[in-house]
Amino acid sequence: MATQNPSKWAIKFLQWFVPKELEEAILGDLLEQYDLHAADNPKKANRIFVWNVLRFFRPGILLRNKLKINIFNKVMILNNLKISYRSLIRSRLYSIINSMGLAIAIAFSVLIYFYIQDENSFDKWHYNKDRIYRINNVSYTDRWKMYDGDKDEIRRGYLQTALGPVLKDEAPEVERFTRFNSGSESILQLDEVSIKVSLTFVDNDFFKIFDFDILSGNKNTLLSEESNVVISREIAENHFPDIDPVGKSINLNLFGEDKLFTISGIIENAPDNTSIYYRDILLSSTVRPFYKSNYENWRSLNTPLFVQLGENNTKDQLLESLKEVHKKYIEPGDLENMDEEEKKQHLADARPRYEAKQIQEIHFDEDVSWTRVSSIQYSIILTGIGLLILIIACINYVTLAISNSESKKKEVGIRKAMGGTPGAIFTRFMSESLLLSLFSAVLAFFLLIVFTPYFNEFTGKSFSVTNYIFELIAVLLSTAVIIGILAGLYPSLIISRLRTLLILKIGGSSRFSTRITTPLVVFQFVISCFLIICSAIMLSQMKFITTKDLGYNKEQVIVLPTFTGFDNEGEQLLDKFKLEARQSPGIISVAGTSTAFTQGSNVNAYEIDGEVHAAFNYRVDPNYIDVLGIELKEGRNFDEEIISDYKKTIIVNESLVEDMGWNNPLDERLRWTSDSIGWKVIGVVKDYHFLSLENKIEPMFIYLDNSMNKIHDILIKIDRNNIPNSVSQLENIWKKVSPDKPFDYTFLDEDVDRQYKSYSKWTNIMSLATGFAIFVACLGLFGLAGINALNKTKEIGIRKAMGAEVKDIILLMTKPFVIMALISFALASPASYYAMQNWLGEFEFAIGIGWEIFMAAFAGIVTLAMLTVSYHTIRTAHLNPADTLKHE
Amino acid sequence: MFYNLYTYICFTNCIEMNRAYLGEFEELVLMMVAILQKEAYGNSIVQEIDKRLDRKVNLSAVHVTLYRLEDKGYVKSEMGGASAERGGRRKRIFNITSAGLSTLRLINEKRMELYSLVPQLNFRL
Repeated sequence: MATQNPSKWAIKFLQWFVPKELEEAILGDLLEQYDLHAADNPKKANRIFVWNVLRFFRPGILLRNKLKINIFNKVMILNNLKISYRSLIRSRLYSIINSMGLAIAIAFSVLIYFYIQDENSFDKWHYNKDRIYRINNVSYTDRWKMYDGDKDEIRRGYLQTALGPVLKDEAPEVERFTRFNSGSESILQLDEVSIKVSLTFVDNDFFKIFDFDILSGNKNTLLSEESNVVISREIAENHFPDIDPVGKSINLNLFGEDKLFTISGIIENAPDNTSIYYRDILLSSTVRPFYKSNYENWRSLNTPLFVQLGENNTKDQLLESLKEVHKKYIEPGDLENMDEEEKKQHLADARPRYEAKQIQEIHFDEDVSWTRVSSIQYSIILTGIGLLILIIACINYVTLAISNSESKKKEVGIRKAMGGTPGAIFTRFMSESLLLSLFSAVLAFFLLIVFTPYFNEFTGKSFSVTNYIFELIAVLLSTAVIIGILAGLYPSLIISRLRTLLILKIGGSSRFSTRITTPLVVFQFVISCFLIICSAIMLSQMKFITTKDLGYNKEQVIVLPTFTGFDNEGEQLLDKFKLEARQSPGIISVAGTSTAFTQGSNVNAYEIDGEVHAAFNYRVDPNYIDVLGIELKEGRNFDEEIISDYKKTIIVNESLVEDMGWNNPLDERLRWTSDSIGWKVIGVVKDYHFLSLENKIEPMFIYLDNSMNKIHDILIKIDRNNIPNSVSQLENIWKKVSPDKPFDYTFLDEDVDRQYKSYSKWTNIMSLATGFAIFVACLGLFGLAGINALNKTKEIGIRKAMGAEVKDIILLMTKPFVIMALISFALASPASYYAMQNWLGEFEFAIGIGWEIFMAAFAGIVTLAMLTVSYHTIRTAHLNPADTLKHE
Repeated sequence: MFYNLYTYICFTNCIEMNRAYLGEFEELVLMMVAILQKEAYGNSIVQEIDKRLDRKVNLSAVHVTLYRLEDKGYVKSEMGGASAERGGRRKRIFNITSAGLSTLRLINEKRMELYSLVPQLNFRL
């Protein structure tokens, strides 16, 4: 007699996994056993019962079930698709909005994924990549005050010229070496045409260490002769289209000297994902200017160096050898000038002076300045953004699907009444979700085609849909399927579980829970607020930068490089130019300088009375101050007529006066060279921003003296009224004055803007992300408002019947969302404030974060929220209570 | 009653089906069915084994073995008496078939043969 009952869930469990035919007998037997023990000890009996149930969970029983294969019901698939398609067409607004959101998210993520893949692939394709190292020099700042100085360790990729050959000779583990100097420019003479080309200096082993494709020529001897050059495929195709360039002679103008070279081979253009980037022409390191003197000079760090180790050698062996070489060649020179105390200190200093980095690691090594270094921060942030966008899009998808499910209720009710199993209904709605996401994937594909050029411009990569078409299709399809299934799960489950009676009874309703979606929408809004505020601040900072008075006149000034070397040719060119320019009305004034400060600078460090100072310095001419519109504060400008101005005389800026602690600068002399008397100060200029606004204004001086530096750039102030005219006048003069050099001018203000290229890049990314975040957040809000309206239908009906006006209803429904916007704003503000303080901290000269920005952002967000919600609120507010309250 | 799928899966899971001999437990259960005549079902077999051999076996093992024996054709089952203790559920009563009987006979013969070959086990007169 079963007075007690065994565990119900155990019974349920049993009934689930046991085949129907066997269930009766098995359960019967188990109950019988239970009853045997139940009388004395029900608890024990229950335990035994449950245990036995579990014992039945075995293959011998489980496998006797007929496998239910109802996932793919072939017959229904087509029908489902047809119905899904029709249903989507019918609710067009919903379909379009939802798929757009998803499509954008997918497109974004694909681009970000590509970006990261590309960044990570840098330099990984060389065969010997594990054995190739770049050597870095490490120095410590307690000796030299460098202006970059909040780090006390400085790592640089420049080493002595002789280090490479010496290592190869004396270090057994070093199999090959190559130096690598790129970034020089020169002029190639070809028939009647002069072309500007980029030069890269390497050693012969370069082609064996790295796996760049050699299209023509003998890999082993490409640069074995000093007179050989290797040209890139680009140059070969552009300038030697029909003939084989190998063996031909070309004329290169190297730093003022014309030299004849023979083309020994053609190399493939450097791919994008290499840190070792070259263009146009490769020459032997030995042809670099000052090669001989640099070779002897172990103190001059002027060339990057790559070594390839033997197969079984380790990095530690390399570091040991570097120590040995340093001891043998450099230390004697160092110790020579030290007294006993210093010698002891120096020898006791065991900090490493060199380090070696494998080439796969150099791309993200920001500390060592290199042309193609990138921050790993970008990759991390972008990954974060990508994931965030995907998650948010999926959530929105779900929300919108739910809020759209209202219209499906009748269909579901009828299906159930006609005998549809929950499984079939589930499948029906899943296929709708899948169809929509597949459509989104197609949209995403087209979006990618549209976005790609902008993406490439931003990031400097070259993504192309056709290159990756197979992977793209695979990724898009799989993403669509996954998202379709995941996002479709929740709504489909809900819909298929609704109870039939409730549905068919008109006026019946089931409330959708907003517990999950509400915090999510708030989350999206917080992110949007954050981005809006940050974008606003970044944009105004950018505006500030471009319009701030820099202390000199950057408008209407053109910079013209002279392509001359460390000789007087530049100066002669300048004089000739000035003569011709007098006759041109469009040219107001001409000056010359060693380097236009927007394109580079010279810094020298000097020790005065035990203190180390450093200053920027430029070789200039008397017109310099006039052309740039710099204000002279004390003293006078250089005068052409006064010969002594041309020797050891300088004009300093206010910062230098402050740095030296001078009261009467015009009485002072600056001992910045080995000369003990120093150079005479004849004038002081007001501080102007010769560096970018990220830096404060450092000490600087200018001089006419020809001994320390030569003229390499010509600065021309032109008439702003007719710029093209003036430029062509310039070109004519240039052709007359130096016909063999290219006319390669830039505008000074463009140069200045280029200093902020990375910042404007970030600002652009921010703006884009903001736009997208807003769109997505509005989508989410739209969905949420829809659900809210759904849930409140009856309530609104009653209110209206009781006499509420349309505007009251609208107010009522909008209020919760305004509060939501408020909360988001409150949460986002401190975060964005903190983030922007950091970002602005990079600039010495920045805007303050005022409350106006926050006010504006707040207003914007509230308006946005209200607009988004308005569609649903207005629609619901106009509903006729007669319809909503029927049958109550 | 039992479907090909099971057979296939058993095969691929290396559970041998339709081999010519019985396992120890299968033989035991088959004997019990033969002994208990019309009363052979899950619980009774468990109790009988406990009574005669003082051996505690689990109900699930017995059930599974019974089904296997039925697959092999050595037993036949039909639904029989319900009772209140079983919550109104009927029992599945198993009967041995002639094939089962002949298998038992064969096994016994072979065993006797082997026994006679063991000197220590032989009846020493």
